[in-house]
Amino acid sequence: MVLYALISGILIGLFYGFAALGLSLAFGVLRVVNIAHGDVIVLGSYLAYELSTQAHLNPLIAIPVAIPVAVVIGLAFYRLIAPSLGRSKDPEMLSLILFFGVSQVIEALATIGFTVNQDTLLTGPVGNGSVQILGQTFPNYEPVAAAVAVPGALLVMLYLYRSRLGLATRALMSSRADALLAGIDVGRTSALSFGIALALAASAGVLSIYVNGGVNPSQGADLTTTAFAVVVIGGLGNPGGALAGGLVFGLAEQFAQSYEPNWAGLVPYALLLAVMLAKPEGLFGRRARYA
Amino acid sequence: MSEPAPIASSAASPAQAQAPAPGPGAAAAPGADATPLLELRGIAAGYGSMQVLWDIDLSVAAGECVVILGANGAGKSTLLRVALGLVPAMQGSVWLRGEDVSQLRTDRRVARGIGFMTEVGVFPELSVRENLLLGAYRLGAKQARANLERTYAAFPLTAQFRSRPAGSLSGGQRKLVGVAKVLMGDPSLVVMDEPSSGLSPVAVHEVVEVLRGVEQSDVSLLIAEQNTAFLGLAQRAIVIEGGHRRFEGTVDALRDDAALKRAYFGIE
Repeated sequence: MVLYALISGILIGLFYGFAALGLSLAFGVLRVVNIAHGDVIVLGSYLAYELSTQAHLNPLIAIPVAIPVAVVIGLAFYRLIAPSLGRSKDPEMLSLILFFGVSQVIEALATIGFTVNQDTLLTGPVGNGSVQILGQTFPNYEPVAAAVAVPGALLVMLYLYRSRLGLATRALMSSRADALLAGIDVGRTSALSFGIALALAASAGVLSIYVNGGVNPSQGADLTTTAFAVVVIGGLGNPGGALAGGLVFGLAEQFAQSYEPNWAGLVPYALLLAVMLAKPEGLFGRRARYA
Repeated sequence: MSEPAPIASSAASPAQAQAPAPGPGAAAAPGADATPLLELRGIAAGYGSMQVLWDIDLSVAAGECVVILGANGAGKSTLLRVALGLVPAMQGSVWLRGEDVSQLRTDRRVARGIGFMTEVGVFPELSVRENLLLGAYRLGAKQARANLERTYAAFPLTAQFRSRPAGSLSGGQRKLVGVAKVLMGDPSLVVMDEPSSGLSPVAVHEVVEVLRGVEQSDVSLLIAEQNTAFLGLAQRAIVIEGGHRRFEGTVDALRDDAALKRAYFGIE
C-alpha cells in the first residue's frame, strides 16, 4: 500500500504541480491571484470533452488546440484590464473582484452550454486499460497525466531559465520598477506571461477531466482552491516551487486516501496550514527582500 | 557571507573597459554640444495629493558629473524617479538631448541611453551573470554577451561570483555589481540613487573610486546622495531641502556657503 500511495502520489502530484503552474506564474509576474484559474481549467476539460464526443478525436489533441487560443485570449485580456489595474489605488483588491467576476461569467456560460450535470469521458486518453508500475496497477490516465505534465513543466522552466524573454519575466517577478529600469517592455512581458498562464491552465484541464473523474461548470472553485494550496505550499510566485508543492500535495492526498480515506480531503489542507505556520513563504518561496 | 573581494582589477579599470566600446548614445566631450544630455525644467511632483517637489530645474551636460545633495526625505529620489518616468511630474518637463521625453515610458527613456542604479542596485534573486545580462537587455543578446566579457575583465568580482545570487553578496559587492550592471548597457548617462546607502566608509571609498573611472570614460553621472564623499567626483552640485532647490552651482561654491558647510560638512 505504501508503494501504491507513493507512486500514485507522485503521478497525481505532478499533475497538481502542472495545474498550479499558471497560477504561480500569473501571481509572480502580475501580483494578482487569478481566482478564475480553476474555471479556465474547466474550459480546457470541456474542450477535450467536445473534441472527443463531437469530433471523435483523442482528447489530448485539445492541448495543442487550447494553447494558442489561451495565449491570444490572455494577451487580449491583459491589455483590457492592465489600464484599470494601473490606475487603481488598490490593484490587488480590484483584480480579486475582477477575476471573481470572470469566474462567475465562465461558470454561467458553461452551465448554459453544458448544463449543471457532470460530463465524463468513457474512454481514457490511451484506451481503458490499466498500467503496471513496480507491481502496482494504476488507471492509465495517471501516468498519461504525469507524462504530459513533466515535459509541459520542463518547457516552462526552459522558457524561464534559458531564454532572454524568460530572464525578463523573472526580472519582472523580482521587481517591476527595476525591470522597467532595465529597459524591459513590462506590458508586453506581463501580457505574454498571462497568456502562458492561461495556456497552462487550459492544458491542465485536458488532463483534469480524467484525474477528477469528469467536468462540471461549478468545478472551477474547487480547482482554484487546490491550485492555490499547491502554490502556497511550494512558495507564492515561484514556478519551480509550484511543481514541488504539487508533489507534496499529491503525496499527502494519496497517502491519506490509502490509509484514511475519510481524511483524504482534509490532510493536504492541514499540511497547508502547517507549512504556513512553520514557513510562511512556502517550502520553496522567496525569503524577505534584501535591504 | 564571504569577505569583500577586490572591486576592479588594476589591470583593467572600468574606465578602460568603457572607453573602447561606446554605446549608441555615447557622450560627446564636454562643451562639444551645448544641448544638455538631461534637463529637468520646473519639476513639481509628489505622491497622490502629497507634493514633495516644487519647481526644480536641473541639467547634466555630456561628460559631466552632478551630485544632488539633500537629507533623507528632501525629495532627491523622487526627482530621479521623475527623470526616469517612474513618478509622473505634476508640472514641468523632462528633456533628453533636446527631446521632450515627459510622456515617454521608462523603458523607452532607458533605451535612449540612461542607466539607473537604484538603492538596492540588483535583482537579488537572480545570479550576478543574469543581472549583468539584464543591464544590457536593451542592446540585444549578441551585444549583451560581448559586453559581459568586457565587464568580467573590468570587474573581477562579477566573474568570481557570476553564478551566485546577487542578493547573497555583501552590501559593497552588491553596489559594485549594480555599477557593473548599469555600465553593461553602454549608457551615456548613469543615474544613481544613494550609492552609499548601507555601506561602510571603506566600501563607499571603493565605490567612489570605481565611479571616478566611469567618469573618466566620458559617461555622465547624476548622483543623489547625502554623503559628501561623492562631491569629489562632481563638477556641479544642487542641494534640495524640503522639496525646494536650496543651492545650485559648482562644488567649490557649495563648500564656500557657510550654512551648507555647517549642514553637510559639519564645519563651523
